[in-house]
Amino acid sequence: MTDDFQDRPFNISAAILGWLLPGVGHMKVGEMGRGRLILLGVGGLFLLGVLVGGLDCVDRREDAMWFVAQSGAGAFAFATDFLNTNLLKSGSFGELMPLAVQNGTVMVSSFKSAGPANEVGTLMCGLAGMMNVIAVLDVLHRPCRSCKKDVTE
Amino acid sequence: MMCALAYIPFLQPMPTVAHWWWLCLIPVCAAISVTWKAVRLETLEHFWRESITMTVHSVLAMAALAAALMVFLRLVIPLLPMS
Repeated sequence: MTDDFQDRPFNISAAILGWLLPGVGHMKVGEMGRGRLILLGVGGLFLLGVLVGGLDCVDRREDAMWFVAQSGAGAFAFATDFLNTNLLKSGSFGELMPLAVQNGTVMVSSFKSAGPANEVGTLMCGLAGMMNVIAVLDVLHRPCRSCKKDVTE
Repeated sequence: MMCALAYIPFLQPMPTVAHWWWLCLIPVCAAISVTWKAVRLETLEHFWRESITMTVHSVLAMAALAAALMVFLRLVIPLLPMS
């Protein structure tokens, strides 16, 4: 068992690619079909979360703990957070409105999501991130199909 | 109505989610099943059949759990003696 584990490959570059863009890690090791399906599953779930909750459901500063899970989806999460900061929070889309909080007033976007839409969207994006972590861990030790055969084989 | 007409997909949250948020369970289960089976199956020969089966099992299991909790909440808890 230990020998089997030691014989397994360690595809660090495929794992990094798979984290950056879901499914690409599997494509790199020659598993094109598997990679496309992972992209469909993780990417579809993440985009559905953003569709339901809006850009605001991925927020690195306000929902930091959720972002830990969401960041598993790599570029999807960081791009959505970037767009949230630069489009909504800056007031480029919608308008900034005052919101009374405990210590005074803060300005929030009129596109800010709240209630079930925000909860469901945030959860979907978090689940997408965690599913991609599973895919990344899988590709880390998956034998490379596209690589040239070793002399030992 | 005006709010729904002005809805911009992906920028704004969906306007009527509060009424049907529980239906999101189905695409969530489907996406998780697709990813899980893509990772776990040795070959992708029966991929869609396996994914659909897992999706149906997950949705039915959660619906049964919800029904059991509702029965417990509406029928069993009112029968408990009040202290």
